[in-house]
Amino acid sequence: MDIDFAKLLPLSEATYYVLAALDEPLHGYALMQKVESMSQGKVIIGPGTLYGAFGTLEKQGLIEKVSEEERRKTYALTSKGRQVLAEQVRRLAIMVRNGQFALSILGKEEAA
Amino acid sequence: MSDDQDKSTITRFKLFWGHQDAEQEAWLRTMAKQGLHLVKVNPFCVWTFRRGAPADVVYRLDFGKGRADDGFSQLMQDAGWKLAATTTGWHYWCTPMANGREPEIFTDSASKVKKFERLLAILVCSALPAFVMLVMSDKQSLVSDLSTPSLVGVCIIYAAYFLTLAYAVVGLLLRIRAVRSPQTT
Repeated sequence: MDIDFAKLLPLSEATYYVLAALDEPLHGYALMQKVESMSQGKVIIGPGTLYGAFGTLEKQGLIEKVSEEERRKTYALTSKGRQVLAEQVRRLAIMVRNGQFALSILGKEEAA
Repeated sequence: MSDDQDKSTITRFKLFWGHQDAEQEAWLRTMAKQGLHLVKVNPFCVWTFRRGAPADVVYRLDFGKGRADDGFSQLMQDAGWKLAATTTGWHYWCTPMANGREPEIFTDSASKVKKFERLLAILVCSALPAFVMLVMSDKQSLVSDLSTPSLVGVCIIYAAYFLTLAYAVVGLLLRIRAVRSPQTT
């Protein structure tokens, strides 16, 4: 399966956290709470935004509905979703290394 | 609403444009602080409030057909929101203010923009019949058939309608632009 990464990446911060929180199947509200605690309160996803994100991600085949109980839909990551998340993490890791490198050089120049 | 609650209600008339969601939200919050809680609103901007205890309640507007569908309203309820009123595609959600942080339904500009785009689409579609009628009508015979006063009347009605529509559309487009630029969100 070929994935068009150029079309899907980079993920927005909210979308990134939605995918990263789905290491276990979750329904909407549980996911909202998990993202808030995972991001140390930095990322808050409102229910309207999350509902839209669920729809978009499901259409893109990155997540799938695994069950529905009392009108609460539970979603899980698909294998395509996992690959997209992995590619995003790989790119972020490069960005972080580059940023750290630049800061360390600047730090040394300041010390000198 | 249960019967033992204070049943006294008051109604207010107050006009808002479609792009004035923030103004409506602020007004409804001010009303709630005075103990007036929204229970109903109709398309003619008549608002009904129930008298109760003053409370700091945050209101947020959503727009779209079927937006109060089962899955979405369940998620909203789980997140602590209550649907206070609804009218012609508008949904007035409210939740008590807590922990000093204003709760939001939409937390990124993309989903906020989508809300206004849904409204814009409905607005433009609703105007299509009137527009088609104007283009297709036989203006020559209209001019000869109608007396001058009624012709002026028709023109005034049409002009007022299209000016109102144009103002609403421009207002929405400006609102979308403001939401898209990060400085103002």
